[in-house]
Amino acid sequence: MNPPENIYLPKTAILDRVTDDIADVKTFYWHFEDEADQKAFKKFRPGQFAQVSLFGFGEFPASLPPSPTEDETFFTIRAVGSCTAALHRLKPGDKFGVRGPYGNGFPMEEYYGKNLVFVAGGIGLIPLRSCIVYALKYRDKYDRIQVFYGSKTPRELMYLPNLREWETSAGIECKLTVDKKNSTEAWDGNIGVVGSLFKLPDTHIPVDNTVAFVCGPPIMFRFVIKDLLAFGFQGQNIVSTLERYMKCGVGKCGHCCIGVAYVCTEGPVFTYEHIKKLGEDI
Amino acid sequence: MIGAPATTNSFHELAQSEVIIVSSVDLGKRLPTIAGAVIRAKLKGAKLIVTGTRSHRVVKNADIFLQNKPGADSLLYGAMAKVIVDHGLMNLPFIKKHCRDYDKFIATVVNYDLLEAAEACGVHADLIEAAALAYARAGSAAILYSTGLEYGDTDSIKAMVNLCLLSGHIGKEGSGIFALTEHNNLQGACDMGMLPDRLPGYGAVRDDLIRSEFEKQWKTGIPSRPGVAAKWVLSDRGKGSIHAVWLCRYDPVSTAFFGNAADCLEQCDLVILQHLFLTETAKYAHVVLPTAMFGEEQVTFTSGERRIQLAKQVIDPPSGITPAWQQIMRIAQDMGADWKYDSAADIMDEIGTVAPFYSGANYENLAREYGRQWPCTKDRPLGTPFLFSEDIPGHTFKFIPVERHDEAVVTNKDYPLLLVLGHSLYYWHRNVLIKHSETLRREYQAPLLDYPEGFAGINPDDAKKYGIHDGDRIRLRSDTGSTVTVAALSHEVRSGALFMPFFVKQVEQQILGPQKSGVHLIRVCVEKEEE
Amino acid sequence: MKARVLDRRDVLKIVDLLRRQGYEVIAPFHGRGRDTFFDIVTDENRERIQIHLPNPYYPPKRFVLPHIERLLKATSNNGDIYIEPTYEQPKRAIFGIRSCDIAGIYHLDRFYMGREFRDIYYEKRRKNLLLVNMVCTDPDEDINRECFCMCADTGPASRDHFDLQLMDLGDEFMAVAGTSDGEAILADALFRKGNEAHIKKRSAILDEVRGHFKNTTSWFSAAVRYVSQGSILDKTWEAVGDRCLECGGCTYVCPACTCFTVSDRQVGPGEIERVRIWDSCALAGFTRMAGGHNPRRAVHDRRNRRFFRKLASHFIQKELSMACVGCGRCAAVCHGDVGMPSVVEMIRRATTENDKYEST
Repeated sequence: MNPPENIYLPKTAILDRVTDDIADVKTFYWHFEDEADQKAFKKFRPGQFAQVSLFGFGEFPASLPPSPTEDETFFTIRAVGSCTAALHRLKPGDKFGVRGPYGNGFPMEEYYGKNLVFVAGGIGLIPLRSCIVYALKYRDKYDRIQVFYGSKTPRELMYLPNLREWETSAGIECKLTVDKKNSTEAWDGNIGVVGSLFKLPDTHIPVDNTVAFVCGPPIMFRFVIKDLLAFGFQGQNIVSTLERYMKCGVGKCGHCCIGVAYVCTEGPVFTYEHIKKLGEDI
Repeated sequence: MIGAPATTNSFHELAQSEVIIVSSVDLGKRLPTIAGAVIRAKLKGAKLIVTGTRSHRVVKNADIFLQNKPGADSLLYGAMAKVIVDHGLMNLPFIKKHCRDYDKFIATVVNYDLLEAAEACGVHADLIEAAALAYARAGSAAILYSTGLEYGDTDSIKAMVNLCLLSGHIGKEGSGIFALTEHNNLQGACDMGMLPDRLPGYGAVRDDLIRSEFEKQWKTGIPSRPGVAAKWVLSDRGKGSIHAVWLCRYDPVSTAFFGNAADCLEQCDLVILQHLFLTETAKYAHVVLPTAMFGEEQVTFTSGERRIQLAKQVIDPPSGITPAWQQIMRIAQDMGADWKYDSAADIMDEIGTVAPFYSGANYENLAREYGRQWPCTKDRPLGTPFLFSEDIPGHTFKFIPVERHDEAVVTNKDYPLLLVLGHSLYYWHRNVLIKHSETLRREYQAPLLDYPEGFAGINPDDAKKYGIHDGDRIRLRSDTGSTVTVAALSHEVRSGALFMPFFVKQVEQQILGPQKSGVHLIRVCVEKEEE
Repeated sequence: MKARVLDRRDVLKIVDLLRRQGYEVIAPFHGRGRDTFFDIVTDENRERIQIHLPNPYYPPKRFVLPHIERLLKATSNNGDIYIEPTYEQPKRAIFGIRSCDIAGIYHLDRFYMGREFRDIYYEKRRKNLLLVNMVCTDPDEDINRECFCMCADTGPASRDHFDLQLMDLGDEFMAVAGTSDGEAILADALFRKGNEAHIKKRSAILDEVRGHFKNTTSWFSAAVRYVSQGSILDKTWEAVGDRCLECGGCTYVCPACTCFTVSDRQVGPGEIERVRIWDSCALAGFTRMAGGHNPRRAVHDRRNRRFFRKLASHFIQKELSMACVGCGRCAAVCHGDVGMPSVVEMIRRATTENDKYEST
């Protein structure tokens, strides 16, 4: 048998540019120093993630918001700890480490011919962005594509350029909402939680031959699942990406395990049916 | 008191205790090995009584939990003594043979009243009575309390010792007082006289006879008056009298609960620091001596059960690093002293000559089995598992009467809650060793990551009453000031109490004003703080 | 397996043989009191190697999955980063590893080299590790009160997964090989062919030894079923949690526990090392996420997790190995007496409470 490759070894990556998104959140555009590494990595699937190394601080898992069909590779990261804060301090040209892609990803090919319904809250849009852009790239493979997305406030909506594009594009229906806004903010859209978008008069969510993607904070997740089940969705047609504290990303360190599943290898993408059978509450 | 500056029995004897009282200490978090002995004793049939304001893991296994109001501890134990006396369950033969001042003690006990104490403590009278009767009637019984910071007010300790003497639960296997030390070798440090008024072996510095023995042995004069306690050195430099400080493996800037170490050290002319790592305190040191650590040197520790234990050297220290004792010896030699120790074993031999209860211990016999519990002498070469066994003649114990007084702080309608400041468990995240351990650092930093500005632990029923949710900003107001913090709901906190473990000095200043300090119980009211 | 025998007085010569072949030999020794430990054999301590002794608490998994292990070094220089994996694969033999621990190492093999990815650090060390199993035959020395290898079906004599197995028959020891490396050792002149009488003696001794296990965890397989079905009530886990002090001892002494955390440390100017360190699901921070959400904050959830990971049939089927080997160390070190045997007993009590019929 061939000697195993070193699954823990990051490869050198170079930071190209950084954009500010919402408070504490930035998007980092990067590429592997070695072309071969970059080429191999570009074969990633929507829903996968990578392990980002800031040597001296540690490593953290990062969802992959780009679609493999896009030219640039990037992460969208909130600064929550010393490691992510170290990333936030990097300047274009600085080097760091990346290894991956890991995880199962969304099986977008299995969804050919189906309606796709994306429901996201806050930074939950990060992993789903990859699927949406992918689906739009292969538009003719899918039936209806709908996006329902909300954040706490207008300033916390992610990927505004994409959102604007999706709101106006013919091939995709995109509805946005915010929990609340203050008097000075410019927002004339819906006000309410994401689930309130389902109740709008011009909202028609197909159930047959449809896959619903749900990603967001735990409370939002619970309520949206409740709604979808009430609409008639089956557990195996609702799919999500779960989040857990991760250290190795390759199914060895044990931190991300929920019940019977290691989120980093058997997930992070799970159907709701599978989630119910994991043997532990999420 | 009982005249022993240590736990009277061995930890494994808890398996023989019919009744165990654990007083105001979260054993599970602070001393898990002893918590284990207590839980296992309970599983084998011991009756477990726990007292204290906070609930904790060991409480889950208790038969009786006396969750008293903060500041009411001595009332609780006084009431228990009254119950024992009222029922005529005192151990008169024992008292007659071994105790002084019993009459003085009884004169104060009669002033306690069970029902009034129950009211003041906030504990059912039935429970207090049941606990007292169980303790008095037991064939063997142990009382455990911690010598660590916050809960040990001296009155409650005296009251506990009185209970022990009243029932004669001492000097037998499984019967005694466990004065638990929470830091490794705290017992050893005290045994060696690291106290401002004591010499090694606990002889008083004021005692001319003892002092002259040491002066002869050490060939030097020794001050006849006590020095300044660490608390004052690091609060006001002993009213300005201290100009130099030598810190041996102590990081007070990070971990001292009292005073203001940084300011005091800043004002000193000379600060010498021996430690393993460059700590926060090192920033104030003129000289830093890195020392060898556990495993890098052969050294002894004395545990809370008086067990002198030898730790062998198993690896070499990094190049150039030497044991602390060697550094001290070399500096003394450079100063002209005639100190010649070839090894730590030589020092242990000398300890045996000045501290008689160590005299039977040496590195040779300590290397066998698990060390020796002092007193370890020529007459007791294998050491002493429990103190005051019957075959030691002539010991006398003394009752120390505790006058009944009201609880330390009484709440009222305007200020209905008692704020308890400080919780010594919570400073461990600043401990330098813990900072260097990935898993321990993660575990101990979690409370501050969850509540970066600190928090006030509040009982969930109380929180509901005041419309407060976990994570809400709340204002605590006393009649001298107020402070804003974050609410952390916990069932461990007694209804009517609040706990603030972090940023204590800040909170003290805000609530009490800049002059007062060191007050750990304050009556307050609480309200939600609007954004 | 073909049985060989050698004289009792020649047993330690196997250690000498291995050392001559360049192995760093690890063997068990007496410490103070009950303490025992594995250590590297030197000329100085060779005479003190023990054949029969209580199994050391610190598990031998550390010779293949170190407590702290460096994974890589990263040096930065002028904006460039140089990342270098660091491997250690000493040629090692563990002499006197118990059958339960053999099962433990096998479990680690399945976990680290099976499943989705293969762990190169583990694999390198494992390939260079020779296992000389000593069968437990002395009821006073070898078998602790807490041992339950019989219930976990891992002992007292391993059936497989060792290179060489030795068993005390009295004046002679039996030796069998489990691998070609073991066979190569048996080719040495120390060994001679065994006969029917030796085989009979071995059987008789094993039969006798099996009767000495004190721990009644005969409910073990039922516990596996109940855990796998998820039918154990929360209140049972709460009762376990009430006695748990969250010290992590169970996981650190467990020969079949595999979790670790990873940490970067500065080791020089511009140079860091990344190490992995044993971690424990018993600790509250094990699952704490950035931002504070902790799915296993409550102690009884963590107790539930431990026993689920140890006993759920999903893992046993996936890994073809159970993550509990019956060594009893968790029971020996647990402050609150909620090691595996006690918890199996608590599960039994809780489930059999349902047997009570109501009077009509």
